[in-house]
Amino acid sequence: MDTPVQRTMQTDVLIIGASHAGVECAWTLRQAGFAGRIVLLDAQAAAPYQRPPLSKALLAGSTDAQRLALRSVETYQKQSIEHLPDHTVARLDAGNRTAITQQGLQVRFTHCVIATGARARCLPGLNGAGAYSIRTLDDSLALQPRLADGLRLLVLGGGYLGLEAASTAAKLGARVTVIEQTGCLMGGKVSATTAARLEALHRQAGIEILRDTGVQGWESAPHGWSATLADGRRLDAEAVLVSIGAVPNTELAEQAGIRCADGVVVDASCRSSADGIYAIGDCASSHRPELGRPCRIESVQNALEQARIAAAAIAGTAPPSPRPPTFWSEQQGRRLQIAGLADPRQPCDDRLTETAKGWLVERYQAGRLAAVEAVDSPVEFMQATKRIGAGDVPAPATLTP
Amino acid sequence: MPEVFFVQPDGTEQCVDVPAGWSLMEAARRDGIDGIVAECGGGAICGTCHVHLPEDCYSKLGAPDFTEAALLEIVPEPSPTSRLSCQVIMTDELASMRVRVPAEQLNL
Repeated sequence: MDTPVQRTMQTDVLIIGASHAGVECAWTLRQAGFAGRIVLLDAQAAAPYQRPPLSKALLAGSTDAQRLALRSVETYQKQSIEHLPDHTVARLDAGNRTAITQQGLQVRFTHCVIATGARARCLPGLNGAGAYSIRTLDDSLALQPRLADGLRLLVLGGGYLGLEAASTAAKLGARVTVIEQTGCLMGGKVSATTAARLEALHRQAGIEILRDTGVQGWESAPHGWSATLADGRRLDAEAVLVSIGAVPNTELAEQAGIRCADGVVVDASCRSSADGIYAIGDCASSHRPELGRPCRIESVQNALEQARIAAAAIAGTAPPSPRPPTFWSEQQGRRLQIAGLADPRQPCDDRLTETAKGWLVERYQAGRLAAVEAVDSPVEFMQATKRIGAGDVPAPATLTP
Repeated sequence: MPEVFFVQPDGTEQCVDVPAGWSLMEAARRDGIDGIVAECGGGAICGTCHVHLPEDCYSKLGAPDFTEAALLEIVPEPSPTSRLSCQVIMTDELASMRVRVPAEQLNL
């Protein structure tokens, strides 16, 4: 069904999506001296905001939505970045280089950057009252007021997001149970040492963690939700947080005939299979030399990095020098930083070092430093990160006990 | 509302309104101040929002915590009044101060 065109505009760069990646791309274009027109289409009504605090400070009530703004409205205006909130792109025509929004705005572009991000993965049958996810500002603001006074909260999925939210909720007095269907917290993306130590901290804070636990069924109940576990046990909760990963928003690109495979497939310059169209951030999948295959990376740092790469390609300036992907999380008041990608299909030789306030794990694969994890040790993290890719496995004396 | 002036390495100044209770970094990011990268968003772990404070203002603040102090030892262009701007919370006492943005921030 075609959306009737109500008005048209012509732009040099159209950016679809205004979160970390989209905003950074617009910003970097201006910093690079790009003088053309930049239109930033935003499906959301709120000014573009930071996502990491949605499961931490905002959920804890220790900051407010205003403080999460990536830039003020005046700042976009000063940079001549046309930010249009409440504009959802309905269709993208790669051949004719046009996009049309549900609101009837047709945009002709020279370059287009798809920065549509990812959405929370849902579980069929688990939605409506008492079921939550955390992906947007509204998601976090909906759950926040409920987190108090012994609320029984089930967190489905023990990844970064689920554990961050569990940590925040427990601190506010909620009684929290985390259900993880695999044996590993944080998706097996961290070393066994870090996973076990953080799990111990969560348990000390009163959070119940059920690993290797599947849920057979969910039932809506007067109090909220009732889960039947695979072993027949029932768990009741007033609220359920579904944190079982994200799905890339690639529908626009797919309908436009752009190559997608768990993300919009892009090259090292973030170019998609369609001329003049780029993809960046959570919705983009690029070849990772560390893994030898294409992969989507969900992190703010990757969103910023790809935004700068695409901006450089459009502006014709030098791309930023490559650096390993980095991630960070905050759980139980501990700050976890990760750099590099360890291939989950290959064995890891993990080397643990205790630091003044936390610990550092260097993860070697095939004799090379593949990834680094640090808890409350940012200086050690910086130093070790610079060695990623290097050989020289340290002597076995420092082997993880 | 209290104001803070951010002074760039080339001497240009930008005036930023900083509501009391906000960090300097939050207001600088909102106004898009060059050189305040703030990659971690205020976690005091990336060291990319380093600024130099005036001496009198520096001494009005509590000492940086262990992590911030450690990062301030490895940032480019450190000085005795270096702080991470995400850890400097605005108060009326700090109104109208001039903070200097270094030419370079910490980079991996």
